[in-house]
Amino acid sequence: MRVRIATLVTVFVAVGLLVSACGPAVTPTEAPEGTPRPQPEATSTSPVPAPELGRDPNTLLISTYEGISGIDPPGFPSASGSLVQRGVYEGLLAAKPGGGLKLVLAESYEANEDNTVWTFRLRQGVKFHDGTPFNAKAVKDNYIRTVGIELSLSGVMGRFLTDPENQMVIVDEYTIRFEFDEPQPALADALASSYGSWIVSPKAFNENQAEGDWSHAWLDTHAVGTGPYVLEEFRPTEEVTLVKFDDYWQGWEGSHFDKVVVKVIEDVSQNRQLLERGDVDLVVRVTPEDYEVLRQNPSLVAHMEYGLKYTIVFMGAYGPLASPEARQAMSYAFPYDDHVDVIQMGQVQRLYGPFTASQFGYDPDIFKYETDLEKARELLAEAGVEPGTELVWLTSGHYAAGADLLMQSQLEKLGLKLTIEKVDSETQFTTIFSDSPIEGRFNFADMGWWPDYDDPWNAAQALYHSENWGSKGANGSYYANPRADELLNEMRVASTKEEIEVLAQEFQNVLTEQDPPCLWVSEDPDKTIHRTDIKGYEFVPLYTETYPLYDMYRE
Amino acid sequence: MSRFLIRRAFFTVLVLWILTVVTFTLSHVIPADPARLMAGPKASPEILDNIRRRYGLDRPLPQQYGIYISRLLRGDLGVSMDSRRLVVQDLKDFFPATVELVFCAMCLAVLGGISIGVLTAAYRGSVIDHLGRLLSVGGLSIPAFWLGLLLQLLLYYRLGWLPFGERTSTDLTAFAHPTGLYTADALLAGRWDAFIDAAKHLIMPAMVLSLEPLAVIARLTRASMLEVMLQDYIRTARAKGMKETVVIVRHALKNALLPTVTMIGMQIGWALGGDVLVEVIFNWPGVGRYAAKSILSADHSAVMAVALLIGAVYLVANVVVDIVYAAIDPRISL
Repeated sequence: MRVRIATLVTVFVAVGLLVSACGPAVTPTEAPEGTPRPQPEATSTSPVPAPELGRDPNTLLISTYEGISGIDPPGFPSASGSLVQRGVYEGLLAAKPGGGLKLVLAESYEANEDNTVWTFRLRQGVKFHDGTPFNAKAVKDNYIRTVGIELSLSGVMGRFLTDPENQMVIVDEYTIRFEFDEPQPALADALASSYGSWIVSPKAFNENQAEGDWSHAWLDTHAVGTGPYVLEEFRPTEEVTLVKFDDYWQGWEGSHFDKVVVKVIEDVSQNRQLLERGDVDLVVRVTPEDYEVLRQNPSLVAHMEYGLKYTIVFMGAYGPLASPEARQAMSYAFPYDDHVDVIQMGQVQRLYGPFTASQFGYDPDIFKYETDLEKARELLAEAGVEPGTELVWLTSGHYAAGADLLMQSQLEKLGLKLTIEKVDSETQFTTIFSDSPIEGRFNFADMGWWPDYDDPWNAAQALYHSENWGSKGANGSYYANPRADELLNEMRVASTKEEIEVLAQEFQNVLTEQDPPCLWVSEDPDKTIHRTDIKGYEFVPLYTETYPLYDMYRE
Repeated sequence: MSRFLIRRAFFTVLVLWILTVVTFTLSHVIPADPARLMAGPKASPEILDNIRRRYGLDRPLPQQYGIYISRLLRGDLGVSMDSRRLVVQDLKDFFPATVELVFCAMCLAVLGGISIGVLTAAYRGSVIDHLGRLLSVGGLSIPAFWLGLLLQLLLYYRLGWLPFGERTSTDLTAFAHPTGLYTADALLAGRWDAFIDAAKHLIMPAMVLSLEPLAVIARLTRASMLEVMLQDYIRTARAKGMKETVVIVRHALKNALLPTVTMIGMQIGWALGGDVLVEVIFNWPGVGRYAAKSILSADHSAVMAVALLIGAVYLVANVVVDIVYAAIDPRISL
């Protein structure tokens, strides 16, 4: 009997291993070209017709990896929320795929010479989903709410509108003028943001108030915009259903989806199965290993495009890393190529400073750190960091997975000890953005980031201005460089974009060669994969992990 | 009986109150800051203060607890900071999904476990016995997450026999959900297509969730049956010429079931806890997945509500078990 049991166990284990080893039935084709800087082309294989679709062809099924925590435009910033908002809301302007802005609810706009007065002529005949007309009063009421409600993204418009009631002047029903005391060259960029700039129906936020909340509770789970799709069902942890808005101002001529379903599949490793079985049309994110396999699948199209998203590692500007030399040493110690090529399998690219290559203001001649342990050793001696010094890297493994281990190995060669403290991402998040005392605070902590709109001040001030230490913003390094502060202050009130660009270049130099607050780890691409029968997708660098739903269709 | 029920009701309330104190304290001493998680990293101190005020997080802990208890007594479980909805509404949506899943899993576990236990005891030392024991050991030692992924890979990805998870297919025409139990709702609506679709979605998660309780019940039933079958009254029954089936089912099983019934009550509590992993793997929109997400986002109101709900179900299940116990064994009075 013992033999029989052993046989059974063997068979059981063998079946298990066989099933585990079952890989996808893919036919490898030629690997796509590498992705050149600054803006690589989408990667796609020789397409073949997508497998037969056993479901409604007029419905687009998208799998996203995070629950949708509220969709009130000035509320919580999340990529999934923005994905839904991009279908139901519109702004006055929008960013174009190749850069620059396009008109959406604005028909034209102009600014005076010093950018203190902006006039927008609005599109006529546009209706909100509740049937009310879109006009200048709707714009004004909307931005008064956005700023006054004091939520996470109120600052996007709040930067400009310190006195919304008086700074927005209704010239006529379809013309609105923004009047500022200071030049505001970045206003148009902010109005194209997918964070906090969407126009909500005033009727919706006037009629659904509860305890003076500006209808925030209601609008977190409902949406009334002018966009091509109406929010039909909102189940934030399961799925969100959008259906076409019959009265949409651009009409429904041509090819479009009637319905869009955004499914929340938190385990991204399941996306490969769903795509290959044809149970979703498009996935927002996959693991690096799955991306390698899926991009070789001829019935799928894989895009890997770089925008404004990146990963950094905060270096605590206190304790052993208080001096710029010590942080320069760390910047020389980090093995950038190993991280990019080995750990991330070439699916990220080097980040050289506080801005990605696609960001307005990026300086291609920026000082670039390369791994050099000897240089690091010299700088450590100069900074007085003794051999045997202990450092702590706080991580959740969510942002720069594996970078901590690489750095541990490098620092060991320099005679330093790096302890990796692994916590869940929420604890990491609230520890970094807290006022915890320097004693016991991390020396390194990894984090992902992208700006609200394409402007260097917006991209940098929360992270590096000394006013924004810990809980006051996002300056997790407790970084304070007087020149960096000055440059940010000047960028804030600069009168032209050219002036901003010049200031941004010096700012990048301060934060790299002179006094780095972070390890500049990687630019992270959007990795979108969809069936070959899905057309109309175009990547816009500003709109991370969201899609032009109206322009997409099934062939 | 009534004294028993009053006594148990008192203890149930007491245990639930202790549970609120423990979970409230634990969920508020962890380092995560819910206001910061909710607001994001770019929020200014004024915005953080605004959120803390809105959700009462700016008040001292005992005062927050007092407010929580007074609202709880009025049936108000607060607002989920994650889903932005009333927690009561969330539970109303998610709890039926968990009930349906746990009910199916427990049906599989009880029917399968008792059958295997009886068969392995009746055929002690045979191939059936060894196979049954192998299944029991396997059920206890195979992690649910591994088995879940394996079944998904085989039955969904490779063979395409079953859906990968969730409660129904996306393109299924909508039907009313008066009970929230989709299989029952589909039957009530006379929608066979919906019933088959919902049942197909249930199979894999229910199988995975049932494995451990099935194994425990099978092992306990077998051990208990073997003990009972050595008793004199069983020998007497056989000596009187009764059929073996009658001896086993009518005389042995009835007496062997007492410890199994106790275990079933405990396993319902286990299934509600173990359900978290299964729901996450199968993207099952139940209380388990809701709990996992709430814990990770420091969603205090949701965490407290789920803990209370699972605690209450566990306590009620134990009361029911005690009543069933008395019904099965006339020697026990309540």
